[in-house]
Amino acid sequence: MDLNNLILDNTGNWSVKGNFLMYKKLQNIPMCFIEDDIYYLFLDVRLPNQVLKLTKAVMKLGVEFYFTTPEYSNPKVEIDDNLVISHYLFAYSRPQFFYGFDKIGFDLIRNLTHWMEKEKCFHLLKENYDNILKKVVNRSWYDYYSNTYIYDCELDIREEFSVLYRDIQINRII
Amino acid sequence: MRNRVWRKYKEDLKVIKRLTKMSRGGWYRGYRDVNNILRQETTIKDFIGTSFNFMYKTYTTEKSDSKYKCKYSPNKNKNYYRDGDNREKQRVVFLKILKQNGLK
Repeated sequence: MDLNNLILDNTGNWSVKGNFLMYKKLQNIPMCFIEDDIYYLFLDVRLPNQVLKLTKAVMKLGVEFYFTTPEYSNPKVEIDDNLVISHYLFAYSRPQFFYGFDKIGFDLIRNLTHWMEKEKCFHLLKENYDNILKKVVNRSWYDYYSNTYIYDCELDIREEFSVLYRDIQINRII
Repeated sequence: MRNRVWRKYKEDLKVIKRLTKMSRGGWYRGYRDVNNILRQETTIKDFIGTSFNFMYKTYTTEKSDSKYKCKYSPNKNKNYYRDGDNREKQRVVFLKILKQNGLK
C-alpha cells in the first residue's frame, strides 16, 4: 500500500508529504492517508472534484476505504465518532457530492453504514441525523415578496434526506 | 511568455495576498468554513471554496486599491500626489514649450 499510487496526474498538484496525500490549491490540502491498511479519504467540500476522482481511483484499487472529516488532518483534534458521522451527512447534503457520487456510481450511505458497523457507533446516528436535518437540510427563510419559504438545499436532497434514516437501517440489515 | 499559466499564477498570488489579509483580521465568534467547521484562528486554507475566494479571483484593481500608489519616485511620500505638481503634469508643460519653440 503506497500513497504514490494515488497520484492521479502529472500536473504537479498532487504530492505525498509525510503520511498524507496532498493536493495543491493555493496551499497544500491533505486528501488521504492510510491507517491499519485502510484508506481514509478526507471528505473535503473545498475540493469536491478531486475527492470524486480520488474515490474513483480507490474504487478501482479494490481496497477497503472510508471517509473522514478534514478536521482530523490537524493532529491537535481528538478523534470523535460524532464528528465523522455528522460530516458524512453534511457532505452528502452538498450538491457537489450528492450528484457527484451518484454519477460515479458510489453509495456514500452504504459506506457510512459499513464504517459505523466497524466502529460500533450506530447509537450516535439518530442524534446527528436529526441535527443535520434540522440545521442544514431544512434550513429556510420566508420570502415576503413571493410569500414562500426558500430552502438552502434543493428539493432532491431534501426528499432523499427525509427517508435517509430508514435507508441506513435497511442497509444495516442487508 | 505571458500565457494562460502565467495569468493563473499571477491571479493566485493576488488571491493569496487578499485572503492572507482577511485571515489576519480575526473573527469575533469564529469563522465557519465550507466544511461546517468552526475556526477560531483562520488561515488561507479556511477560505478556500468560500464566497470570499471566488470574489477575490479578479485581477482588476479598483480606485481604492490604487489610490495611495505612487508611480514615480519623487512623490512617493505624498498620498495624493496627482493633485499637486508632479512629473506627469511637468511633462505636458515641457511638450508645450517644445512645440512653441518649434522643436517638436
